[in-house]
Amino acid sequence: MNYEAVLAVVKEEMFDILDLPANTPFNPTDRFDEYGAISIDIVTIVSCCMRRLRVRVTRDALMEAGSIGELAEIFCAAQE
Amino acid sequence: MKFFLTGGSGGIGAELAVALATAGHDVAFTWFSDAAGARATQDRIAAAAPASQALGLELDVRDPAAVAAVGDTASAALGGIDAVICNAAITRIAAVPLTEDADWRDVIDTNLTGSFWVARHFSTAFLAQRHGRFIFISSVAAAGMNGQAGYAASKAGLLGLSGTLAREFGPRGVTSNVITLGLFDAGMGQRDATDQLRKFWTSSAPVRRMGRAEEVTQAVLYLASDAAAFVTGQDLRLTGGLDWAP
Repeated sequence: MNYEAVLAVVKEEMFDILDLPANTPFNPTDRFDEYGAISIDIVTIVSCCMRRLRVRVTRDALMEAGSIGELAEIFCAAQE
Repeated sequence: MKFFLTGGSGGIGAELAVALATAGHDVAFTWFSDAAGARATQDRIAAAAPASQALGLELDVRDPAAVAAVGDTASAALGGIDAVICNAAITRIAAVPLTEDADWRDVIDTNLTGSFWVARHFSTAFLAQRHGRFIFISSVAAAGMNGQAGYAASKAGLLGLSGTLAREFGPRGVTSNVITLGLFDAGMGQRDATDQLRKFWTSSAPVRRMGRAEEVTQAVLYLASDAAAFVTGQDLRLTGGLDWAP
């Protein structure tokens, strides 16, 4: 999957887990907490994304993500 | 269902592994020092429940990397895990002033920290699948027990660990509960209990007997079932009514 497809998965999981209205403005440079996510929400989003994308990313690598888009980039790299 | 059970080579853990498989469930059980016991558990499952998948895996729960590797192996072999039972436990008996540093660490690292490594490993999968059951096997010793400070502290710690998991994961369909055991006719209760303790227990407990291993199985099956979806953060006390250890 390319970056756009991976980002779409992350967005879909975030909207589902946070129960966000479909018309909520979304920007990949945002962080999860800007959408109201707390730590367990973020863990859930990341876990669901890894399950769907069939990738494993270490905790250390995940800590490097400063935004939702950067997380998608890390998932992209992990697919390769 | 698919169970991951630590400490399945003997005692109540072995009885649990066999009973869960006999009830039609798939079981991955771990063992550490008792290879012969693990083989016996595997053989008993094969004889009693040939249709169930059973997997015995060597694991030192004190090693988080090993927990992750064995957890992944179990998940891959069984096609996911629905319920985790943290049962592996050891004890070292000595009065507090005589307790060696290494003995304290061994007990805490195995019984409490090892349970944390296991729970942490499976937590992400449980969150992703929006379902899962954590079941921790504790003891009436959690409130204190002569000569077993490390064991008591480790078993008390499981209550805090389970309660935290219940709070953090409750909204995601994952439950976490403790089963607190009194004196049982299996495992440590059978191996280590003195005649004096047995006499005290059978004369003081309202039900006037020791617990039976199959009673633990029934409690586990309930907490793992859909019927217990609203039960989380609880301490199910299988004590025959005696919630105290001498």
